[in-house]
Amino acid sequence: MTKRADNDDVLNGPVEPLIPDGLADRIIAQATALPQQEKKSEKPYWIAAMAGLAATVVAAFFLLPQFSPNNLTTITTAAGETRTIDLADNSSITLNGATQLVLEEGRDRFARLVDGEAIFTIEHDDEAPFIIETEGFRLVDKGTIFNVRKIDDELSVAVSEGLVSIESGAEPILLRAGKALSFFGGRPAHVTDIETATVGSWSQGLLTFELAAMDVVAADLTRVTGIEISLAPSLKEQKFSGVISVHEEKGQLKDTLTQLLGVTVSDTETGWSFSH
Amino acid sequence: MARIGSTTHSLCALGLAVDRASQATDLKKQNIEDERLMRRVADGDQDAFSALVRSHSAQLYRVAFRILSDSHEAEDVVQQVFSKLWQTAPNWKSKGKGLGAWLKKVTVNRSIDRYRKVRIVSSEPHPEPVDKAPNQHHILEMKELNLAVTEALNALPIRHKTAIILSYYEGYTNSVSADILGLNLKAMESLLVRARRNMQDLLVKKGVAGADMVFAR
Repeated sequence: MTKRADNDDVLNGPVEPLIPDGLADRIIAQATALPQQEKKSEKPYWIAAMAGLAATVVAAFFLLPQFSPNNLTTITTAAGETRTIDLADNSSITLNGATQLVLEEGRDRFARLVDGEAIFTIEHDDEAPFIIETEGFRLVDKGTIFNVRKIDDELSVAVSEGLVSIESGAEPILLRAGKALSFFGGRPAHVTDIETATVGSWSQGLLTFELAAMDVVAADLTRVTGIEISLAPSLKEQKFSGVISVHEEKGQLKDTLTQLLGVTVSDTETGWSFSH
Repeated sequence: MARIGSTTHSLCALGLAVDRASQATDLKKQNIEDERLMRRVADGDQDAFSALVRSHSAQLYRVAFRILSDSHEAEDVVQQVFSKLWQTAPNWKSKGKGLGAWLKKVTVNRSIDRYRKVRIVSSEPHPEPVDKAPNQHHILEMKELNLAVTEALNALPIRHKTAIILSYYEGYTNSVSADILGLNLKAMESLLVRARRNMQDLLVKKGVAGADMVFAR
């Protein structure tokens, strides 16, 4: 048996989904059968302050591989898959495809981005800033929404809202909303202006490129769609600027790519091939 | 609000008129009550937890169902959300826009993840409306319109679909929807513009009169 939710007058309101009978009872019974977490002891203010000071003094320490006594949870997404992790403090992390992220038990305000791309939407807390580690870098949230991309030796951070501090052993770099910063291997970082609405737009199926090399375009398409793309050698030097919508059906997407990128898209055994 | 074709009542197919001022006041009261209950849930109080579940589960189920179009999947998502709430309650810290916002956000995100994973194509048929109105012609017209809207909604990319559900079906402000989807306000507005355009195109393709179709908020 089911019962209708509040508004069932089709002429005066939308048809509401039926709420299953006993929904709340089942939820309560199943949830309360689970054990609750142990309450963590609140640290006195001065301990938190000392911890902050110590963290500043040994800022370079994070660059070394760290031993952690806590349990680690590794979250991995396949190409074409996205996943959102909701944290208890109303923060969330959305992982793009082909991404690996590590969370540590007992460190609620910490994540390690091993590889791939993720949008961090963080509830800022001055006393406990959210920290993201990635090889050789530490990102400290001073605001709310930013995208982090770590592919091989490239790290790029784009800020949509608020402020992020990027530390790599030298003076921290403060990156504001509307700015993106990239590191490529040993080469110096460069900061660029960006449209804040495009930050993390991959999560909406939109890939935005600015003079991007074709292998980057292909890799991003693979990450979001799960379609493996190989490139003809002659295309590798070609650059692309523009926005690709990957919402379309595969056939349509092929046509779009042909027009936008000026390439021929052919089927291969494992996916697609781009050529002139 | 939305107006489709020549039928004024077709507004109902896409959204509700929402009194945002009264919504904000209710939300404030709800947040205060939720905080009070969460302090008790943190100490393992099952009665307080039950009160929270009874207060929020129907709304969360409705959102999950609209995204997933599957009652079992929707219930599973809501179950997971409340299980997580119960388990993490002792360390719950009130932040941001309150417990309700957190519950909505987690429900929407889990529903989107599940939708992408399962790729549900078939949808549970929408419930038959109760035959209250005397004008059968209007009911038939409304049913057809509802079907066209449901099909168009289900054909949208998942983020577009979710944006439409949050804004039109649930009546959330763009700011609340942006928070749920982890977007800044500008990105949310831009997502909604694209979603509306996409929805409009789909409805026109389905023969819903396009000339006087209006999406406006």
